[in-house]
Amino acid sequence: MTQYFVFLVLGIGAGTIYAGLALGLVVQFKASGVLNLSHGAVAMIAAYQYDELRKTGNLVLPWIGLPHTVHIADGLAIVPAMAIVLTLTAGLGLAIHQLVFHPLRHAPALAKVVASVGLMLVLQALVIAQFGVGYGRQPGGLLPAQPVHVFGTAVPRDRLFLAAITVGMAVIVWGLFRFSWFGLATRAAAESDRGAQLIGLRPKRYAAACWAASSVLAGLFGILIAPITSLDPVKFTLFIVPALAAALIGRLTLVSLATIGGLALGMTQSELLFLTTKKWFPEWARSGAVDLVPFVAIVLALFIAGRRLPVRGAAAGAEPMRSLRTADRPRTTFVWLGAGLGALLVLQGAYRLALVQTFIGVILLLSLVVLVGYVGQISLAQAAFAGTGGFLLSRLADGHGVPFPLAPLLAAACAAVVGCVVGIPALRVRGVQLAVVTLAGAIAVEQVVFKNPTIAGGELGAKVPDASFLGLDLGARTGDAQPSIAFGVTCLVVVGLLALMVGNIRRSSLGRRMLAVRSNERAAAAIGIDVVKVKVGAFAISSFIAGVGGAMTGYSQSSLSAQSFTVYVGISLLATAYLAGITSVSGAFVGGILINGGLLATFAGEKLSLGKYYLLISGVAVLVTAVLNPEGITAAVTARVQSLGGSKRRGKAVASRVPPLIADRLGVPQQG
Amino acid sequence: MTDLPAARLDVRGLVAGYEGAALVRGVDISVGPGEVVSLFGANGAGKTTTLAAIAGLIRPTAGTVHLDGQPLTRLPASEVVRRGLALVPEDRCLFSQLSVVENLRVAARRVGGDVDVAFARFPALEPLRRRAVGVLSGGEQQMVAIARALVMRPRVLLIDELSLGLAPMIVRDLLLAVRALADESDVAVLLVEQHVRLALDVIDRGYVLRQGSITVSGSAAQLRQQTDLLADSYLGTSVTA
Ligand SMILES: Nc1ncnc2c1ncn2[C@@H]1O[C@H](COP(=O)(O)OP(=O)(O)OP(=O)(O)O)[C@@H](O)[C@H]1O
Ligand SMILES: [Mg+2]
Repeated sequence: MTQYFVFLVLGIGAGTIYAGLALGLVVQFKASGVLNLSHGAVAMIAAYQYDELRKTGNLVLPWIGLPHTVHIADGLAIVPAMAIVLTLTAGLGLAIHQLVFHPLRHAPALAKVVASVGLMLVLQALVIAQFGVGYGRQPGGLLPAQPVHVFGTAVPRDRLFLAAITVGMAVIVWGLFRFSWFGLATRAAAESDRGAQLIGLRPKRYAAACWAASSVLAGLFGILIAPITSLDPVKFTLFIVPALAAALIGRLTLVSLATIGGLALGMTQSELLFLTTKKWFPEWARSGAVDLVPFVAIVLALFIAGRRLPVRGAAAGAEPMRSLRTADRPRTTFVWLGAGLGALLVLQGAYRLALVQTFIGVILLLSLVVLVGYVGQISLAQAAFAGTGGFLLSRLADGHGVPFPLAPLLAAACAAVVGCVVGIPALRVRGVQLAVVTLAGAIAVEQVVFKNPTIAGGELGAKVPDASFLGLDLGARTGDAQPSIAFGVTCLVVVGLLALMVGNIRRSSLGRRMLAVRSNERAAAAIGIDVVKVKVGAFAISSFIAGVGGAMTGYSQSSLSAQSFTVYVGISLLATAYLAGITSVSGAFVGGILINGGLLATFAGEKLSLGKYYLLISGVAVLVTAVLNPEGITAAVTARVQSLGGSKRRGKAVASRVPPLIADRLGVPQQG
Repeated sequence: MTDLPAARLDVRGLVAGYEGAALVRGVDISVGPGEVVSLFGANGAGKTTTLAAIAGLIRPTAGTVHLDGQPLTRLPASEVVRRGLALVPEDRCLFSQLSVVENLRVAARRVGGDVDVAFARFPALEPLRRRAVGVLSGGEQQMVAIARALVMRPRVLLIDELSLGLAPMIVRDLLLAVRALADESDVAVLLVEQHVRLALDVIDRGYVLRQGSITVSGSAAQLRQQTDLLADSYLGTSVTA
């Protein structure tokens, strides 16, 4: 019995960071109506900075190339280190607001999601590049941890301090919003930009203050919790997911429920962790059980409170239709394929490997063109669909000897079924909230399935035998030039078939229905389009394509590991697709070149020795694109070419930049 | 250029529009202390644009705006209101999730936080103090919108579409309330009103805006004489209330 209690108390540790981040998410949502997926990364970078200051006295600056550390003092004490870091974190919060979320305040949900995951990738890449390889950093303890007896059971004292600090902060935030004039003005400014101006407030200031404050909170909790969780750029960033669950439990507005939710999630996870060590707990269910908790919480919160969740900003109305006026012509696709074939014959060694990665990347990105580009459903889970295809391929081909074209097709078909299941939440939630569900789902699948030794082969990985077709050996590692030309051609054929299919969908009546759903679900339903069918169908097609991509990944490596399909792969896919242009087949080809491990990354690594910074640079590119040029590179180039050609189709471009007065009239930035 | 008597609000040669297109082309308006002046015009004539330009919501491309001789031209809206000019916009821009008293309090803070003047002026709001503004009726919301402007103790009050969506009975009450306000507190009122007949009963003077320019102006009595001209300015819309 006492053990159960101990684990419950231990869970306050993780619960604190969940609650602390959720608190910030609620404040940011109240102030600007956005869900900032990079909030966990803000906590992480603060915790790293603090640890560095305490251990070496060095301040780490965010640029590359120039010297990036400044020595402040040896062995900086707790208070000055804390003061420096929290001041910097406040500045970071202000910068994020000023440079990213304020400019995007009237942007469609997709741009906001991409900007926040771009920011997340940037902060993470920054930590990896600037703080050296940060895995397994163990900051020294901050709070006294000697055991204390509660109900006759010894528990670590620091958990009680943490609980007290969390509740204290929550009470302060709640009181500020409830009773202070600042809180009143913030609520007013968040509700109506113009209303605030007309009573002499500068609405931006209140939002900025909220961003600074919430970032300071994130930094504080990051620092407090790092000694317990240890520091790791991958894990720490993902604290955002349980934090989002907590914030959703608080319906994005209730400080009290969000805080309680965060603490409860941490304690539930800890208790569950203890239970998985019990003999009676089924072996196969041990892996990732803990990561299911936030996912289940998010789904429940969205489904139970779904209708009552405030939907703000553009998410409430129609997604503007952008860069969809021209469908991809098959001719363009053939030009890309020809270029791919030429490259395959010319390139060798690392570049040919990169080319194959690019081909596979194109497949994965095509899956996003259908789902996000055509239907506007934001998914961060494409890597999970791909992994489903990949691991099933291993089962079918290695386990049951199913031959080449059949095995990957079957695997992809199963991925399509999984896609349909994931598509079900999309029937009720949309925009940023759908992104959150798919993010949590992707983590759950990664932890529960891909990392599960009883399912996915564990440390050794899942084996995938070489493919052969009509007596031809298509194996990637056949012959001395690896990957082989035969395998490259196989990939290219698959790319070609899928690209033509995706282009065809756009021109078909299904495509028109998809665009109708994307531009306005209600209007689409009103003209007799079966929105449910279109959405679920899009998820099925998209995850089928992703499943094929995963299968090709499987063939390209002899053994598959969860590493190929982490949640970050899914996040980068969405970010890359957006960067390259998510609405067109050509965008998918451009994206394949940009993808991590693809042609450009290899070129940057080999020729410019920028390999270490590729993630950082591409993250910044995503962020800048989302803020400055919400249509992506391909659309920008197309527009430039069109304007050179003298075409005067500027109407749509203007529409995406409506001045606030019109936007107000259309009811875009306000809620009813 | 000081041939006119010192006006509380003095607008000269105002040019404004959206995305470069001038919709308001050289408008002159002046309103004295305690005066109630109306701006008439057909839909799309540029009334809202004129008020938005005066209040700093959009930047005029030419012309000047003065309040008691102090320049307001091209200041942002939040600054204009601090200098004593309040606008009740067409769509009201209330904080709908905040209660009535919160809406007033957040506006009144800069001038001492007294919201009682508003309840004295609009006693009907008293029982609704704690009600969220979003659930109030249109007429009640309009009262809150005017009250919110009032608690800032403006010297100039601009009201766009005082009667938008309201029944004529309520319009008359609101107009009378505005008249009383001007008489008692010396504030200069410039309002846009579609119910011309009702408005002519309470205003001192009026301007008629047609395609961005003032075509007719004069005292209420003079305008009443020229109802046919007024009707013409409405491009076919009848003058009847
Ligand atoms: N935000 C905006 N962007 C572009 N054009 C606008 C905008 N707001 C108004 N307009 C245009 O400016 C012109 C004048 O509009 P305005 O709102 O000033 O007219 P109004 O006289 O107030 O009309 P109403 O009686 O219908 O309120 C109209 O043709 C309108 O279409
Ligand atoms: Mg108007």
